[in-house]
Amino acid sequence: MFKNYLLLSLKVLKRKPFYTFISLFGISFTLMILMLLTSLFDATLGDNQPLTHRDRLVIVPMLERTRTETDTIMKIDTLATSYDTTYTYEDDIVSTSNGPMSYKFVTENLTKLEEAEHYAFWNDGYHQDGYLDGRKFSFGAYYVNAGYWDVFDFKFLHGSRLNEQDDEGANKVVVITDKAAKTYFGEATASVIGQEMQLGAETFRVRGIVARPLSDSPMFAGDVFFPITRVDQREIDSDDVSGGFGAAFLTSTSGRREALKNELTFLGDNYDMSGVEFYDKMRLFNATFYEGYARGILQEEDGSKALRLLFIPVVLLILLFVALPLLNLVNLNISRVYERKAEIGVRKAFGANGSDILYQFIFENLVLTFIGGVIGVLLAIALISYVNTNDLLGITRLSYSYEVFFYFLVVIVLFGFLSGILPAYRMSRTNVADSLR
Amino acid sequence: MFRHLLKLMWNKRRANSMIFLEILLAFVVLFGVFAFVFYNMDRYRSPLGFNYEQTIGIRMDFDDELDSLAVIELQNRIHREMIAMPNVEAASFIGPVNPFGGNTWQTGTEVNGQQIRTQMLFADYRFGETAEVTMTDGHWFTEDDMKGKYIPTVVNAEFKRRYFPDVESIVDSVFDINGEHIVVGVTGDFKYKSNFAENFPLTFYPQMERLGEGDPYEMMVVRLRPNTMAETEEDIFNLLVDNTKNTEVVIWSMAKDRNKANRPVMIPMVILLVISGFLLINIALGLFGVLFTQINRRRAEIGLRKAMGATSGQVTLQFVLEILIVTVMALLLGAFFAVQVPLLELTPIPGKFFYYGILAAVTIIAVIVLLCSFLPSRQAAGMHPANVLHEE
Repeated sequence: MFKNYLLLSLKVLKRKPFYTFISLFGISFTLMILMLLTSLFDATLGDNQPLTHRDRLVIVPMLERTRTETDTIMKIDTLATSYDTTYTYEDDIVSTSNGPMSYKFVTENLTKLEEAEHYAFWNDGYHQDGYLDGRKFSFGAYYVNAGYWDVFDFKFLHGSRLNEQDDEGANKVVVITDKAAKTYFGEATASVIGQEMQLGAETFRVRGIVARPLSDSPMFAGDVFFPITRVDQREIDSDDVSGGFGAAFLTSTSGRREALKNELTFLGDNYDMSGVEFYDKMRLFNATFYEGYARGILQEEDGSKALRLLFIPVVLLILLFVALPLLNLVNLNISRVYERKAEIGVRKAFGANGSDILYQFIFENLVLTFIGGVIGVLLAIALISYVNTNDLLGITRLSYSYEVFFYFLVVIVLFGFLSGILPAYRMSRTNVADSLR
Repeated sequence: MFRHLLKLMWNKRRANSMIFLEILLAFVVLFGVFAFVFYNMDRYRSPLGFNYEQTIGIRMDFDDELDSLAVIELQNRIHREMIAMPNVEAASFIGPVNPFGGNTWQTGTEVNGQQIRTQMLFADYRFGETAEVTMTDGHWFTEDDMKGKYIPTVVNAEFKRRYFPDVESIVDSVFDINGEHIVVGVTGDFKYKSNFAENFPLTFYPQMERLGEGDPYEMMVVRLRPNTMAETEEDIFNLLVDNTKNTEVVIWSMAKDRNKANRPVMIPMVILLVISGFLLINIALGLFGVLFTQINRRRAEIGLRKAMGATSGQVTLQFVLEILIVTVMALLLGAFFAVQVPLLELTPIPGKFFYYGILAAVTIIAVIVLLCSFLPSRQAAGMHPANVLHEE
């Protein structure tokens, strides 16, 4: 019977090529968009290295310092018989400054947190430019502590990570991405490990090669990673609380994140500002991974608000974009029910009941969506590789993993089912006498 | 006739409700996309006001121990040596904010009873010529301006437009914005963050004050001869490394930086437009298919009307009007919801873009619906009554 249904549905598709084309066009295009979107979400927010621990992550990208002055506002009542002069006082935030933190601040204050298991500090403010046989290379330079490699589990292709001894000794070693290795050495193989790289005025030995992350995040957008103590000496000596360092922490379980966030907020609010010039209050921004992502895009300070502001419109937009082709398909299917009235009538007259007809048409629709889905996947793969090879989205590259294909299969079935159920229901209720008239 | 048509459509409300819903949703999507695109295109229209082509940006690092005078001498030496290079046309130093770099400095002060908010850009007296800034009034600050009592500043056209709209000229006025400055010139429209940035009041400051705070200008904007970037870059890099005795020298192309700065708006806009385009094709094809089957199913009715003396034109008009009634109702409902967005000020975007969005969405949907209903209707109306009635 299964085979019969399949043959029948293929025959029906062939009978009216124009309608088949319209349906397939809508289906394959919609499914392609959905596939691209899932792929984009998977690349930026998915469970990819170095963000496998993203559910236990708390990020402190920067701190804010404010200065509050008390204004004296004089009110003079001119209508009163005597000069009645009252003063009111108002607190005004006269100056705000926010930015990353200094080396001293993070190493002295952010390494004794109760809830944090691992500490990552990084400085992303530098570039290493240079020339190799007249060819320019430009590397984003990150100065990171040993804990950075625990928090972000980079995928090591060759070699190993930097460790505590490298931080203590300010060793001239470096971890580079496969892209940087290809640019500098022409290859990203094991033979690169241990080789020397001339970066700036110094020579560094390559310790490890990591795969370039899929997503573009200020936490790990670098091409070369140095031990934190190799950073400009001025950054290390600076007594200021603001500097060039960001921080991220791993908690033991995702449930402890809230506790860590509270701990960080408390630390910021109660920080002794007596040593800080000009400013009198501090706030430590902290966010979970998703909040941090939404904040970065919207430049909105409140993490959970940013999350709402970003994802509600995005979800609404996607729903609308999917609903339209879906409706289109439903419309088309319904209007075509009448064409096949006679066929349904005959089937019913020979003993098929409503549910048989229902199953048959849902199945037919699934066949149609499946064909459209295959075309959609092929289009999507072509587009993804086009986007990736040309770096159209900057650093972010789209992924096509097993998960994406799995989600996609679910989407195909859902799409086929939703667009088929209403027309099939209407068909199954056709009156035999009417249709055979 | 109109009431008659309404009744006809009401009788088939189940079939029409799906078309109604589809048009309504299409309107909502198009309205949103158009409002977003119009808003950004309006911003794109206001010019950048400076030349970024064939221009490179450079960041370097001076020794912190250098005395101010030594910094100026070093800068002048770098400038001299650079200008002497065959491919360099002009060069200037700029402060901590670079065009297309992504950072902003903004300040708000009360001046003569009005709150003035302005972005700040730090540039030396050679910047006007290097970036080919157009001036609408006065001049870009010169070396001589630095010797006056007040430190000179240059403002952009939006600054004057927003805060001093009724004054003939604000050149030679002294304002207390981050210290007292005398305005020596007004540029044309000038914005530096990206093509999609807001045309915002902007003031330019020379190096003097920042030098006093131990924060000399450590970035450069250098204009090169056309297509010489690749060959000149390494020489410039070496020149700067030699002069600053520091390898922390970063060179970038301003044209590329502009593309990067435009990307956060450009990418969503292109994606939205492409998707909407495909959605429209999809809807047009679908509607065409649906109407084709629906109208063909009414052959008997057509035959009857024609036999009673109706012309093909009248029959076509009837079908087109039927669909138009559904469309108009869907658009009215959609427009009712859409109008709430500017009326309730749900977004900071000015209301006019939403009205343009409604207009554009209505026009496009109306055209598509007319086309998709006209073709099948005319085809059906052309049928000969004898043939059609004969079949029944």
